[in-house]
Amino acid sequence: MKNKQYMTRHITDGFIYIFLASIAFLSFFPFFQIVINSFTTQKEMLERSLILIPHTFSLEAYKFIFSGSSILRSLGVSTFITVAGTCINLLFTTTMAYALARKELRARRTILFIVVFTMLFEGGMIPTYLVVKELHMLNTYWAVMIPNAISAFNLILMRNFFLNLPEELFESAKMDGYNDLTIYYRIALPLSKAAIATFALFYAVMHWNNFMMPFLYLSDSHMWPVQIWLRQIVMLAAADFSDVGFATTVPSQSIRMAVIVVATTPILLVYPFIQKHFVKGAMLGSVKG
Amino acid sequence: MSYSHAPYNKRKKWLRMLKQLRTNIWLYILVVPGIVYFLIFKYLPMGGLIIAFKDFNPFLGFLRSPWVGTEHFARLFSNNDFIMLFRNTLLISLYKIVFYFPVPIIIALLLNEIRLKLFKRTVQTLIYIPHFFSWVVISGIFYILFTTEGGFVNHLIEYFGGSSINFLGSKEWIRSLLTTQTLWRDAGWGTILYLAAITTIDPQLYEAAKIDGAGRFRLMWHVTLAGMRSTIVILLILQIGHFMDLGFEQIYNMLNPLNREYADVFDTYVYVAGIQQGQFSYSTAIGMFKSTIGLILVLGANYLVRKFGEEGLF
Amino acid sequence: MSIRRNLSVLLVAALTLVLVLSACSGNGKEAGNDSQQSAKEPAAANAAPVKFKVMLPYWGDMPDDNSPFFKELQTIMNAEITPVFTQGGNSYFDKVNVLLSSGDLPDAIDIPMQNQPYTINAIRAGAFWEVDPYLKDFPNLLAGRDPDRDNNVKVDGKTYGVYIPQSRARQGIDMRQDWLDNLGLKQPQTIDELYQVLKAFTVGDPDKNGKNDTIGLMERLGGNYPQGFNQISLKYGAPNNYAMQNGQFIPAFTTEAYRNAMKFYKRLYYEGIMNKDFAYIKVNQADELIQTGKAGATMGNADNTTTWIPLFENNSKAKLLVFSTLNGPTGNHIAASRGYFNVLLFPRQTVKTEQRLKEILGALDRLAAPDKKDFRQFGVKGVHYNDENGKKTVLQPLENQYLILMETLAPAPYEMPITPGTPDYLLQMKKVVVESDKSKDLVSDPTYPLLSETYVKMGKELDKIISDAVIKYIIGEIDDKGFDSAIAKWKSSGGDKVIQEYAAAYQKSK
Repeated sequence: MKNKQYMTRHITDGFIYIFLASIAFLSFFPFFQIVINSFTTQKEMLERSLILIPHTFSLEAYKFIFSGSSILRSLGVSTFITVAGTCINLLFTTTMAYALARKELRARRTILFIVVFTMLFEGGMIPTYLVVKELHMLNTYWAVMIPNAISAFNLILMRNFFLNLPEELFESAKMDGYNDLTIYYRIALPLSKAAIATFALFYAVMHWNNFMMPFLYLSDSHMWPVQIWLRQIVMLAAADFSDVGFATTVPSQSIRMAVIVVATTPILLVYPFIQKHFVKGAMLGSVKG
Repeated sequence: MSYSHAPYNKRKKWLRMLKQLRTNIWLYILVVPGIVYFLIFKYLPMGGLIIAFKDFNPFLGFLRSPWVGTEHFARLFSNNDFIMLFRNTLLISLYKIVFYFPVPIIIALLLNEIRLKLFKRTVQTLIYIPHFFSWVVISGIFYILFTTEGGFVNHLIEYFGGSSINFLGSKEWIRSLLTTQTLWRDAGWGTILYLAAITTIDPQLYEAAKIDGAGRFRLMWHVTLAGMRSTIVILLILQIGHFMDLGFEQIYNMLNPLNREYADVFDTYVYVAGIQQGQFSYSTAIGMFKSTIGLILVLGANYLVRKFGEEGLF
Repeated sequence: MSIRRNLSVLLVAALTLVLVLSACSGNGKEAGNDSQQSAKEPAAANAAPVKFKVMLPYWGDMPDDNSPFFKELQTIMNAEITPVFTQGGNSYFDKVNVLLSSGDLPDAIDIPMQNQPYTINAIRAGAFWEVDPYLKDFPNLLAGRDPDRDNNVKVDGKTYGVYIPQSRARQGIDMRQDWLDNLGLKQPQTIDELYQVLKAFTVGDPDKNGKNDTIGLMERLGGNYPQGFNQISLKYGAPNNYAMQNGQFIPAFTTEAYRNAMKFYKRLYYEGIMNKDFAYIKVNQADELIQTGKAGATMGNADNTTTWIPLFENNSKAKLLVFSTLNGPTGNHIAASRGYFNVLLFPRQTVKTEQRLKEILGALDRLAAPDKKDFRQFGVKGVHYNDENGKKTVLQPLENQYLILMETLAPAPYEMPITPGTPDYLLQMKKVVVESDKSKDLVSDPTYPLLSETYVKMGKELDKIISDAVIKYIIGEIDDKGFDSAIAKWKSSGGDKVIQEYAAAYQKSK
């Protein structure tokens, strides 16, 4: 009987492992193909339909990309916008989410409705530009960080995490004479590491992938993030030039692949680093301590 | 009697409110920057929505462009394709809620069962990669997989003795293909939030349930899933609120004359009829129509959820 | 654990440092540039340089305003230009609209496809200078103009911008000469011969590999139609979008010739002469059909370099044949485009006086001068090319981004740069495009200079009704009756109004 249970457990485990491994493979394979293709020549790509190991290994594409200074600079810019922007996001989001999670805050349902409403109705590109302009943010990095300071979606979910914290914690802290500011950064924040890591990731990805705001708000090309570059090359390749009045050359496929690799790898590396915060019961330990 | 007491009561009420404010002053201080943000960057631009009732000309601006009343809404509702657009939007959204929405939850539950840390982390890292693919690239991948001219899937079908299927050039398959794309791109990404939610579950709950003799499946159902419940509910309400928003990029990249009848939605229509034509007012009117339906759905879903004793959105 | 944390701190610190450094070096460069320019000023021509800001689209690499080419450009124009380079494509128009509504306009703005609704409304609201009265003072600008293009660029009968001329006719048929040779065939002269050649490409094993693995034509959608459809319909004798008879406008798709073109395509489709997934194939994969030697011809732009160049770079045996002449029942016809793609407009908001407008036009005039042709085509003497007694040697081919810059900024007469050392296949493509521009067989679209309110408002929706029907007809989803009802739908959805409005606009313009 016991043995049988043991067996079923192992068989289920086996199925779960196989299932997850195949999902992981399906998710990874196309990206793997892009990476491989970026290391080979156009000639080989045309001759072979599926390349697992390139016959002619070539670094030409990467040499081409890094020959100019613009992509390196833009990677730096993207990193700066992402890091600084995410810090701003987290500050604004966690404070507001914390306050909204406390029952003592009057009118919190009204405020939440005000927030949710903005998820449905948006002013649009031109009015937002005018606001940014009136605040004299154009052509500064503030323009790509502040107008995105809080995502309503993340705010609501962050609040939900705070709501799940045990109420007794707050009550005893109040008894100890803590005010809400100290509770926020002494108790609520340290107990929500996984949530903060998650939203840091969400915000970081948002900043990293942002194209439209830098495109509209920053006219100095020295300030452009890598997305503008990436978009240019990927879109150009997919574009239809019958409309354009002249012939132009499109960068080779390996260059396009290499640009995708260069522009996405940095952000892909963020997740493995934040995963360590996803530890079960992290909260409990802190409560006891 | 009531006359003499009224001012007194009013004053008492004020005093009480003031006291409430003073004891919780930090809460108000913490919430104000956020409110200011929403007012400036979200509500101020919303003034631009008036162009739905105007004939907006960028050069003339919001104030000088002429009023046209509800002309743009009339144009939308009287459009021959309105019913088709509505039906397609509805169905594709429904597909997404039924076939996509539960998948990240299931994957998160399964990942939670994995004891091998390295395996778990590797899977987690790999399944979120597709989220970084642009829709242009994804539609290219789907072309290679599904075309009738030597596509991978049709090769397989023919290898096993079937006859090739025109996946991309027929109406019947487009909605399933779109759902598949969403699944591939976002299911892994969607698990992140649930995995974070799982970390907040008190391990003592598992211990207690085990002592009660709960098996693996019951632990999953009664402890893990229960711990994710509020996150699931909120995401579901938000998903319902975005019922009308399917995003234009994904569908536009898959749309062709042969499947348009089943896949053209408001977001793709607005791109062709509004944005590509520089018809700002018409685009805004369509957007307002969509948002209004979204608002009604969110209010309804939130009401229902609260009725069942959940916290809901607001 | 702590090592890893330290590492990540280090990483962030390093990135920040890189960032700060790059920001500093960026500033340094600009400062250096300024001092250079101010040092040059006294040496410049008698007049002070014209300072102006101009918004230009770019495709691919962005021009560098510190490059020798850009510096030479400023010297030639005697101008200090602040370029606002902006990605071409749809996002370009987003930016234009944002700038229009916020008033942050530059002094000159390059608008691709000026007759699109994007700009018509702003032009009508008086956003831009009318340039007609001023052009007479600028001989080089006048030299770049001609009556046909002048007519096409007009909005309500007036000229609002300086256009950069392009070839009027880029359409052509590109095919594998080596395949023709292998099969012992000659360049097709008629539509029927074209069919025979494409059929032979499909069944005759043109690559001599013993396998039946080729198709005649690579086809994909371009602008919602099969790439070559417009060309074939004209060869059959259909008008270019509209025919005008006694002041009445007849849409091309109502003609018999147009239907013959559909039948021609239907035949190619059914006999497997072109790829059957043409309605949804992606640009890259379509190009690969040519590049991998699977398909033998394209019928889009004659200078379809993106599609063809990789083939020749990777296959030394491949040879190209390009032509645009093909006789149909009523002879040869070539669709004429507007003859320009980019138009420079001058906002009244920023260019406040006539004097200022004339200064900017003057700078453009200097760039369009005939003796600057070498600069426009080859680049900077001593950097890009050398000239010894009229014999040119290329030191370094002018980068693509600067060729595009000239196509968007230099209003010189239409010319095709032919650099010494250009491969034969490119020369052929260019030759056909240049020759077609002057062809007597050009058929223009009579609606180019006219405006229809309804078309401005819902043209794309209307176009879609017909283009969808054409594709469904080709693959056999609808028949003649189905196509007739698509026409009826077009008419009732606003098409009738479009025709009437064109007729009215034509009457007014006479």
